[in-house]
Amino acid sequence: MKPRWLAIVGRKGGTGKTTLALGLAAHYARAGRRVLLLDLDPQGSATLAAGADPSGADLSAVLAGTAAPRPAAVAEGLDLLAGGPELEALDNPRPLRSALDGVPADVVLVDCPPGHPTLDRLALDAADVVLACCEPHRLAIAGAARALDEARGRKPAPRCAVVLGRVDERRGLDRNAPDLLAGAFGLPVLTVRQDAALSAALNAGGLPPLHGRAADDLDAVAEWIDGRGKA
Amino acid sequence: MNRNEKARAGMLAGLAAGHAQAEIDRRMAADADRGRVVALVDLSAIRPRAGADSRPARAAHVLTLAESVAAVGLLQPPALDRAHRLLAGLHRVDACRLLLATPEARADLLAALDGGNRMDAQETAERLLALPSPDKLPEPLRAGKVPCRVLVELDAEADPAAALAAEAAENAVRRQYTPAEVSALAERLRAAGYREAGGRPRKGEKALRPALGLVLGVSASTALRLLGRKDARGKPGHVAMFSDALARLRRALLAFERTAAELAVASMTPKQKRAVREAAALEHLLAGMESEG
Repeated sequence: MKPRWLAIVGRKGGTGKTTLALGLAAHYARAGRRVLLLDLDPQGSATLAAGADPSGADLSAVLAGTAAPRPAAVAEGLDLLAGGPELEALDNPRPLRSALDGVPADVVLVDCPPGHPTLDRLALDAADVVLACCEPHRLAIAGAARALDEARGRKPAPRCAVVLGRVDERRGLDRNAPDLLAGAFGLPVLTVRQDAALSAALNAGGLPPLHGRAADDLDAVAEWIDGRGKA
Repeated sequence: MNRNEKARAGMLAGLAAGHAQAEIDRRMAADADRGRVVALVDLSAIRPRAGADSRPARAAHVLTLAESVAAVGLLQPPALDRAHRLLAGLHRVDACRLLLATPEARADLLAALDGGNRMDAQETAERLLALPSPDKLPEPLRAGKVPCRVLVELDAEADPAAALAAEAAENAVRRQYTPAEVSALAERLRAAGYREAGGRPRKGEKALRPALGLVLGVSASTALRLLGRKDARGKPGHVAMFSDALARLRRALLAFERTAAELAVASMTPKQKRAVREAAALEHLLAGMESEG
């Protein structure tokens, strides 16, 4: 079966791209799907969070065509190709899908960097589904719009959704933002609620927790990706 | 306006700014993609041109190209539209088809092309025999893949005029090679049996200069210059030529960097311009607040 390619974008930093990437990676791996996580971030955030070495050049060498893909096993069913500073210097990289042709996976998750349209574009070219991470803030919305415009301009266009992270339902802004954004973007808006257990687990270098608010919300995001959920 | 309405307006302004920035991204990407090889495409997936070919593929040219592709690989990628329809590079694609065909099928393929039946039968047979079999071809052609420039924003069927413009542009613009690349290519051609003889090549002999010219997309006389005749300043001709060209390119790039952003803004709608101004003002304000706080 051909893998499903997911790109996690949102030009602004700190909107929860890496948290969502790791959350979905853990969800799918626990569900018995074989997950390949590609860290397209020169800062190597997902790599660092997964406890791997973010100073290497794993993914950049594969994209430059100088090395074959050799993903590292992070957990049962979850492999990672590490990001790192050399992604910044890539000239004329290979398209992701052909560079990773033959690597076994059911789901390929691409964690995109902040503020890097050219690297984003590699992920958008490959993606079946694009999730734009956002928060109810003008700059984050600008970043998400910027990435989503580019994604939706693709032919054929990938399925797109906005993901609002760290949602605190006690705040009016957070309660109202999903409807506002759904109307403004004309896209489904999925939410992941603020969850201290999630932050704690990622801080400790582990995978997101199995249970809790964030885990439930991530399950719903995955359901939407698989075409079963609401919105 | 109360606080919530203000936040709402701010978020919508952010959205407008994002759309405007996306438009600039798109233009810059289109500029960056020009002249880039973006994909290895299966030869069998390359579809014929949307309309009629502007000229039929000439058999003699296809055979000569096939010889050079076998020796040094395909250096000028053909251009395709988003549906992998051919825009430019008919001879190059036909040369790859010829190389990937079984040695037995090659003569028929060539004979079916324009002028194929008027070529010297014995010479053609000898040259075909000298071509490597498909499993001896350089990668990625051996695997049936051709490096192509895919113009993802172009649909040749929907926009034939743009397709024609792309074809003309692709055929007019050739990559510039560095002196080191030129000598390396010449070396590989020599190793493949091309000779640097003066005058008309004898029958069965392969002349280096026209072949190098073909590979580089320049005339045989330019190829001769590139191969390093000394000029008056004592520098090899190609070094002088390339340093001039490099200086011109640097100047052009500097001018381009200055104008690209201005052009992008100049071609936006008033609404987009306003959104960009707003976003810039907001960023300025935030920067001020951060430095105060």
